[in-house]
Formats: sequence, structure tokens, C-alpha cells
Amino acid sequence: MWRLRLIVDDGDPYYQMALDEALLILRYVNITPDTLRLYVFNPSAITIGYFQSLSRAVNLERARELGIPIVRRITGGGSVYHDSNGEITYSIVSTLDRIPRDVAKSYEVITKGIVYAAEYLGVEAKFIPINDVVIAGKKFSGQAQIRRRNTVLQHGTFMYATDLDLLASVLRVPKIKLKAKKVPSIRERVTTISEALGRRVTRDETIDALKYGFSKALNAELYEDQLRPEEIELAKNLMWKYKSREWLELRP
Amino acid sequence: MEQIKSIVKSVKVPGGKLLEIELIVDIKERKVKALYITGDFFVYPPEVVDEAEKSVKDTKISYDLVDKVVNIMGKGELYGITLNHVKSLLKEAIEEALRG
Repeated sequence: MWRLRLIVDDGDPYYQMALDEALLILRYVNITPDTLRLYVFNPSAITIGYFQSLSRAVNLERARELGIPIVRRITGGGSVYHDSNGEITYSIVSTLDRIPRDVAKSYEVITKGIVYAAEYLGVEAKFIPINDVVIAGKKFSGQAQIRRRNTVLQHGTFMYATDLDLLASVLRVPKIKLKAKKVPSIRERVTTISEALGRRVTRDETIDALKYGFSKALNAELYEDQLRPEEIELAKNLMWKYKSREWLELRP
Repeated sequence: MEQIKSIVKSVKVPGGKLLEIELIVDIKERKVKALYITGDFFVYPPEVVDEAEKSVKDTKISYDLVDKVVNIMGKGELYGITLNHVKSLLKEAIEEALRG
């Protein structure tokens, strides 16, 4: 069975994105073991994909009004609102010995963890390639991946109780995308576990569900541990990139 | 007439992702000021997109730019979009830029 280190933490968005990149780098030099992180963005934040145009992906005026920080990821994919009290983010760092080399297949294998976690909470969820998970056609989880050398980092979201009206007000989705998805607005396109169940699901329940989901999907035994000093050190150094205007406005 | 013009072309790939091409041009000097290839797609490795964007900065607006960009992006693996989508949007943008 795969022994997978589990790190559960919370922190600001710069730290979270820096730590994911630090773990990716330190994994391929064999300082970091294969790791599953379950974490909370504190404060709530917006992340955008590496290739996204900042101004077209985010309602900047609204985000500024609400004081919500915005960070560009190293991974592709779309913009996300990470609600401190309604969303858990996971990240998996592993060599490609354990994860299929085929990109589409690897998304499917890792994202099974999300499907099983939803099932654990009593919700039927479905993986929609490339990187979405939906409940009755509405998205509650998105994933993004990057590879360096023989190592993969996949991170993704699990919305258990996100404030969806707030999400819809700060994220921007172009009309041609909404039209293709056959929804009038972004609000109609998303949901949460709590909305699907008709009761408020807690953070602790969600973390238990994700532990269960990923152990099952990856046939892994999780052992909870602390970060190593090198990991924290590199993450702190990388934080400056994520805080910089140049990085955020890479594609304005 | 404004000398600097931003031209944005976009497509939602059926069963795939959003692709937007933003071409910022200097109409008077007939030069590309910047190219942004944006959207919620994935490219492995991501740096080929940065490289493609930079390769046309400060060059003369012409259809040769299409091959230049497509050749560089072709070094990567694209998910959610294809090289043909990049090609046709870029062509449209250049066409508009050449019209002035």
C-alpha cells in the first residue's frame, strides 16, 4: 500500500501557493515524500490559472471592495474563490511512479478522491473530463495540474459550503463560456455539498471525507505529519513571487 | 484614431476550454506591442506559452507571426484547446490589425 504523508493546515493564499510549489520542487530532489495536503485559505482568497487574464477572470473592482486577495497559480485552469468557511483545497505531490503518465488518465485517477469524498457525505458526484466534478450537472470541484521532471502536483477544490453569491460576484466568466455551458450566469453553474444535501456540512466532516476519498482512490495509507524545515523555508522564499504585482499581472 | 489598439478574439472549445488571444498593436508603426494567449486551458510545460508570447513582441504585424507562435506552442502538450484554435484566432486578430 502507498504510504502518503498527510499535512492539514491553513494559511494565507501566498503561503499556500508557495508551499505547493515548494513541495513540487522538493519532491523531485527527494526531500519531500509523496504528500497529500488538505488546507484552508485564510483569509478567503481568489486564485487564477497561470494562463488567465487577470482582468477577464476576476471582477477586480468587487474583489478590491471586499478586500479579497488574488493570487496567480503555477497551474493552468480557471479562477477560483476559496471560501475560508466553505471550501477545502487539496494538493497532491507525487512522482509519476504512482500516478499515470497519461495526463487525462492521471486527472481521472486523482480526482476519484473527490468523487469518493462526496459519496462519503452522501452525495452522488461525477467527474467530467478534463478537470471538473459536478453534482447534478453543477460544478463544486475543479482541479489543476503541473508537472516538473518526473513529478506531478495536482491541486483542486472541494466546495462544501462556499458563499456562492459572493463567488458569482467576484469571478468573471465570459459570455461565450456561459453560453456553451447553457447557463444564464455563473451562479447557476455551481453548487456545494451543503446545497445538495440541504444541510450545513462542517469543515471537520469534509476533511474526514477527503481523507477517506483519497485513501480509497489512491489505495493509500495516510499518516499525518509536520512539514520539514526545508519545505517551510523554500515556501517562505517563494512567497515573494506570489505577492508580486509582476506575477499577478503576468497576463493582465 | 488611437495608435495603440487591443484586439481580443475568443473561442470556447466544445468539450474543452476557453481560449482568448489578445493582440496589442501599434497601428501607426504596424508593430506588435504584446501578445497574450489566455484562458483556462492547460499546457505542459506552461513556459512554451510565455515563450510564444514573447517571440512576437516588437515585431512587424504579419501572418508570419502565426507560424512562429504555433511552432513554439507545438513544443508543448495542449489540453482543452488545440493548435488549430490558436492559429485561427491569431489569424483573425492579425487580419483586424492589418485593417488598422
